[in-house]
Amino acid sequence: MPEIKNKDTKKSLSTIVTDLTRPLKNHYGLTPWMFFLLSVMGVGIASYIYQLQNGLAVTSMRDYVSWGLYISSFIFFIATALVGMLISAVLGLIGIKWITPIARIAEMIALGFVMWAGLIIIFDMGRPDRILNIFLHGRLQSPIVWDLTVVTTYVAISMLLYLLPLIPDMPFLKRVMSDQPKWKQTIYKLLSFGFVGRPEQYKLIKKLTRILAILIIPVALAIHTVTSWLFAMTPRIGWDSTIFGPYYVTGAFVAGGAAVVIAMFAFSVDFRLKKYITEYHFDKMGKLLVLLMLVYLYFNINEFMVPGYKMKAGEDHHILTLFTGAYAKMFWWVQLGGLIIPIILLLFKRMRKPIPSLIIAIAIIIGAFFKRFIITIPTLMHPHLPIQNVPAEFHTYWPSGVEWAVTMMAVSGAILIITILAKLFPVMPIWEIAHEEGISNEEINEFIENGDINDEEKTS
Amino acid sequence: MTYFNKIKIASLVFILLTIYSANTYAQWNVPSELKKAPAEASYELVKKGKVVYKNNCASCHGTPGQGDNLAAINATDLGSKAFQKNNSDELVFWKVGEGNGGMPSFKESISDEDKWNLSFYIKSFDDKFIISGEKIKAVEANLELTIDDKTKTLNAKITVNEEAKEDVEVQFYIKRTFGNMLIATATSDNNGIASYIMTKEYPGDKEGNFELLVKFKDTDSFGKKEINKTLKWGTELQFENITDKRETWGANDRVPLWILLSYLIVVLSVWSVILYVVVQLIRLKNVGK
Repeated sequence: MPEIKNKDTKKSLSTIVTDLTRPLKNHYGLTPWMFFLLSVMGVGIASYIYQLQNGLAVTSMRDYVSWGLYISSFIFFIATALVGMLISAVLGLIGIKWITPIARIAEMIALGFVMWAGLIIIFDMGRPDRILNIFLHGRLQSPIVWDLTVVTTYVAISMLLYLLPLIPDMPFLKRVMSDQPKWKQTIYKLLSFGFVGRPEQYKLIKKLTRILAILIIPVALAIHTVTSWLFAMTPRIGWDSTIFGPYYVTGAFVAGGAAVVIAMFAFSVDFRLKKYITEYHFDKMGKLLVLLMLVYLYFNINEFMVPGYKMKAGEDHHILTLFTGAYAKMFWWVQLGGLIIPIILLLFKRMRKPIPSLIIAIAIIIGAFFKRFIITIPTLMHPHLPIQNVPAEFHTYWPSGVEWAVTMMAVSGAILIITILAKLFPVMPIWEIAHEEGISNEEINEFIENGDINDEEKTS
Repeated sequence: MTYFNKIKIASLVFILLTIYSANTYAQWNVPSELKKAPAEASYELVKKGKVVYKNNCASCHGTPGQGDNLAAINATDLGSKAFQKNNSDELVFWKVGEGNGGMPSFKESISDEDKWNLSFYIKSFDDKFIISGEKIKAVEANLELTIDDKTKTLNAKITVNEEAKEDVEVQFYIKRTFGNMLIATATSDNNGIASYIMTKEYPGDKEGNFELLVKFKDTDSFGKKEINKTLKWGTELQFENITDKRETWGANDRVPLWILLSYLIVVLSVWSVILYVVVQLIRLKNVGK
């Protein structure tokens, strides 16, 4: 079977610049897309105002299930955001070349999702006006304070890691976008930080990117480990697990990897970047996903088989609820449809082509979303003391319309951030792609000074 | 939960239980024939009855006629006109023996003789009730206390009209949260001195202080003179508050050092790197100029 190879067609610098900056000028289809995102957000905002006015009683959360859809979405968002670290840091540092066109996409996903993850926590608060109390009176012993710290840190590093490789693109943008509104040009000028293409500047950018790429690995591991500790630091059945940290981290890579595949497909089709995100990249991402999912499957087997074999008193009820009881349908759907079947499918080369990859990635990401639901809610349904003498609604949990609307606002909001970034800045680093095509810094500087770009645009 | 809170909760439970049982109160089912008193009421017997009353009845019924009875649990003010009008000494004797609702039966726990004395005492608040003998009049005795910290000796000097009074019983109490704890009763000698040497250890507060209360045992005869004094004779209260220590469950200012250090080291080192990158970024403009 012949290997799928990265198409080895030489691209000229002006082609690269034109292809990558075209989506920043040509906004065909942007209005309906933004309208769609903003209407979903509008419904969410209205629901949230309704929740603020009437309190958390409008959600389905009651005394026992006090962490519902919001907190499961929070873990899902943090999980999805983790992929930025995997692609641009881990793979980048070990010198994997094919990530160049998708590293920035991964960083955008990381930024969009981690920012909304912080907001989801606030949606879950009955009194969001007291958020400052976490800073004023938060206890350092509490994993919630650690989580707050590490989420803030991850946002900062992700922003820098998105921004740094963007800086050498700014001279291109200043030149190409000179016919665009003034506010855009101001942004490009500000964010160039005085970059003019001197070799020392390239060197510094590369050095700083490398420092951050190293730094983000422990921080990203920390963010999701601490998120898992919000659960694992309690003695609750189903959460009281020593492998929760790595279990979450590997699960996060699976969710984020699937998100990257979806974004890759969207950008390659909508932004006409098939020349840059090729079948080769989908093939590689498919293989990477198989590896990540196998590791995650291994942790799943540990997490469920070990207590399932022992069936300790108390845990047995919880395990049986998942395996054969009230949550069995969701549990097996998530494990089979979101994990095992995708692993098997992605082993075949045909399934790693763009369209099958997209469908499988969507299945993985829906599975990943409900996996967090499975982690959060059934445990809350099994408190240490039996649930008794309470209203019937306390015995079950399914998110209310308000919760779904607010959660969908968060999803739309994350996609909105990605959309805005993609419409302001190129989704791939022009300079790095140029370097990979063997174009030197001198040629780049020469192009920025005198290069002809309009010519190319007419023919395209 | 502090010790004090536990006491509060325990007393609340007790009160609620008492109210609950008191609400089972029913009408007295009085038999047609009641026992007759074996003797006539006299002031001497009334005085004996008062002691019985204080020990068994006062906690709920209060001081007769003062209205300090616990009305919430249906305990009547036994000095009230309404009560006196409807209850003869025979009926009181019977009721004490029966009990009703929250009020227990004292049939076995108080002897018949004491029960009669008690009935006479209760009836003594009725003007029409005939009591033979002379009413005992109180003399206003004076009480002075000298304290010897070294030997832990308490000398109470009793004088009546500046003359030492012999054979008067004086009681020493330590004030506690829910009442006074009797620690000794001493009788005055021919110098009018009732003396008590504290040999036992009593718990005090954190500094070892407790409140001493000295008064006459027979307040009817000698008056209500009392002496209050704070003494540092108690054992110091060893109260270990688990939230004072650096523990995971403590407040933020008592965070365990290992958590504090780990947190600070991690946060400071990560943010110093971020700061370094930002500073370098700002300097980017001048690099290689």
